[in-house]
Amino acid sequence: MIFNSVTFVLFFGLCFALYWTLPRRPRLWMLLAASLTFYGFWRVEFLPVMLLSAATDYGVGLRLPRARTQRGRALLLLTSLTVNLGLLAYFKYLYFFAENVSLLAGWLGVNWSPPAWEIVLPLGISFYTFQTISYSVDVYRGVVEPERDPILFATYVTFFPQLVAGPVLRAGEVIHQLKVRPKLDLEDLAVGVRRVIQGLFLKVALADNIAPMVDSGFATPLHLLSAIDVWTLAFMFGFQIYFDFSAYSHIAIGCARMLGLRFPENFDHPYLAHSPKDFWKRWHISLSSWIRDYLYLPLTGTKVGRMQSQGGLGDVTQQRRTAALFATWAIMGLWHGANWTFVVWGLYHAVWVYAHRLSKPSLAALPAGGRKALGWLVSLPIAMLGWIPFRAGSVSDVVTMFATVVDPGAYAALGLRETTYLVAALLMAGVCLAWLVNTRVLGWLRPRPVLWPVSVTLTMGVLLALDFIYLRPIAQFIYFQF
Amino acid sequence: MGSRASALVRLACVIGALGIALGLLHLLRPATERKGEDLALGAQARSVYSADAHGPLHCGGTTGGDACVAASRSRGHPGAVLWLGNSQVHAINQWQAEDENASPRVARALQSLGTDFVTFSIPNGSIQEHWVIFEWVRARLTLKGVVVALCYDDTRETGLRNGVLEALTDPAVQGRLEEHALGRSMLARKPEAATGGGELAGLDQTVQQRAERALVDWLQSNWDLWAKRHRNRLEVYHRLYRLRNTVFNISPSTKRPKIPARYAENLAAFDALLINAQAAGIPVLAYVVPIRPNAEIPYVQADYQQYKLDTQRLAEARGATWLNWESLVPEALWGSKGGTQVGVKAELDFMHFMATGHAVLADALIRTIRRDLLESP
Repeated sequence: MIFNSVTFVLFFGLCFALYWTLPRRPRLWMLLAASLTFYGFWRVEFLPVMLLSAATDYGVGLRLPRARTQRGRALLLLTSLTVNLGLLAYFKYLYFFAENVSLLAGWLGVNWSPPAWEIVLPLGISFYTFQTISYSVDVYRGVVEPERDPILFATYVTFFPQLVAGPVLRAGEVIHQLKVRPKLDLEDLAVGVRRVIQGLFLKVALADNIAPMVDSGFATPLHLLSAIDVWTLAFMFGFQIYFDFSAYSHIAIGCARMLGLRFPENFDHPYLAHSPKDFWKRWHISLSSWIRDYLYLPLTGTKVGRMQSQGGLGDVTQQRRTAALFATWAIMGLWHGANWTFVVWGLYHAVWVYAHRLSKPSLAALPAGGRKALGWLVSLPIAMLGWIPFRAGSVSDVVTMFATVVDPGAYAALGLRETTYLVAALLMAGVCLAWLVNTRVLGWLRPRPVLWPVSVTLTMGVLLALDFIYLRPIAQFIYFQF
Repeated sequence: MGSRASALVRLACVIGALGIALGLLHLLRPATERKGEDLALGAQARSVYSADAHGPLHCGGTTGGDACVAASRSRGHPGAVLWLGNSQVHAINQWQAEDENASPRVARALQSLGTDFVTFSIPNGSIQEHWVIFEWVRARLTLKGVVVALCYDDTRETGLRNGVLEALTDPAVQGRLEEHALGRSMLARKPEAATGGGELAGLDQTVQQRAERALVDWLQSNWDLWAKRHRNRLEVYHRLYRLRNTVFNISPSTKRPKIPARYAENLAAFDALLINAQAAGIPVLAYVVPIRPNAEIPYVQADYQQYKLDTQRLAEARGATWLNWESLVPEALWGSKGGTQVGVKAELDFMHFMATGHAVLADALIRTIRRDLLESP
């Protein structure tokens, strides 16, 4: 089911009413049934895939404490990884793998083409498999206790607000919340409703209206795009994906909040980041922290235990850190899609992080404020340009567009409608204004007993009107394709 | 603040927000039901799509174009001449009741000669869209000729809009497009062509699509506020458009620069149309559209002159007739349009003339179609 639809509004209204009237146990059953219904409204036939992932890790979680040997524990964890990554490998990467084998075979003079498989990618598979893997790993590491209640566990995995596009939830963040019966809190309700209204605005009023300009721009023959056009398209897609993805997170967090559940934040003004590290603490926070804890740190050989290591890489050699960095980012790229362009995107970010590491000693001499300002001025265009491989159709398109950007002669002409440049500039100004409001103005407004409710009322009234006008499921959320 | 007082404040905020939202929805609605394109035309101009006893003579895009095809077949003539153009073809400036544009005038004249006349015109129609419409129509009707209105302004457009996009699902159209590199590129860019896009495109092939369709249809029929959302969207767009024009002082007189990528694509589309028409033995008449004389045109002169040369070169290379009618309609037959900036009441209209102007265009078309399309060997 898609958030920006009448169906979801009715569906959630019903869930909300039932949730707050049912006792605890039936409430859990209701949540599970609602989540399965939510998913089934997309494709019923893929429900068993999701339940297989959940059942595997539920079983692994229960057996892990009972395993007597380290080998036994390792085998159980391997079972979880095999099933979940196997599902990903089949549904997401099989055709990609076969295509590349065919290409390689062609280079070697062997004529082989992959069969015309019609493999549909189950919605949300990249998210729920990561969620269940994280559960098994956390039980293995002793970070969380295994959950014995299968209904509770299944609800955690399938919970509809975050099922399809995150945030990627850790068991330790959510399961204990599902166990208790929260009280209906007006503050939670108010914040939740505001988040949903904001999220819908970002999606239906902004992202969906930017999309045609972006699509039109990327459909332009590449040799006719100037460097300014490439930069503009990079920024425009950067805004589109930010609004689209953060919208989903807002709505997911808002819906959960209305049910008395607190989800972690997934975005924190990423385009105000002053370094690559800062950017990844602000963009898709749940995924970047997942990658850090379950992939990067283990690749460096760092033991990640009960305290969820935040650092402590002192014993790791630079070479190992660098190798882990590039491997992690290549995998992170591939997670986003079965295409070499996503690997390029991942490696682009790896290079950015690596370059920043190398430049840190030189930057240390600058005053902190200046360092941050300079950092933002450098990080913003790098972050935005990084969206080119994410959106482009092929690696050769990426190379062509990057080549255009570094060609001084390509800055002379403009190839898009004038409105596109204007919209890009306005959106950048809007993002900066939003940051200013969130970090400076809201703190000043909140304690004021009249100004605060008046400004909230005005803002929500305007956003509600725009949500009503533009509520149409004309496009899926971008992250649905992952 | 006590919890009761806090709850009351929250309730007041909710009611306030709903009130503001409702107020905005009423504010953001045009006074009368008008089509989006008519808002862009201004208050004085009106789109007119004529019809006769058999059905429509004049359609917009291919969506809904079946009515024009059926009507043409019903008239029983052995063939038809197709006219492709932009809003200049359907819009009448200073419209009065009973005013006609050129389309029905030409239709009556040609029908008396045993040939039907069918018009397809869309606002800011690019040549890419004209090409797709041409292929769609000729898969359905026997064409004795094609008239293409060449408007330099519309070379800044690209892509296929919803009124034309659906035509890409037609195998006959696909086959014709695939014969050309541009056509293949157009087909490749339009994965949504299978569904024609639309308001529920995000739910394509899901269970939710049916539920959403049922709910939306019910709301559309039973809730006036919901049914009029398209007018709210139109008004939001229109106000943003006027605000942009005001801030950047953009008016109908502002010079429109060439967008090289789009210009190249539209010329390629024109060439593809000419090649396919020539291969099918369908004569083509291409004319540079009339623009308002005695006023500085809103184009960079060098680019505009080059456009005329380029289209003439292409047309003559493919055996088509090319005519420059930019001065065809005298100044007195043009009108004004509603201001496109905040606070501006009226501006010169460079593109749309009055009914009397349409009569002049119709006469020229009738003469030229007879000579170059129907009577030429």
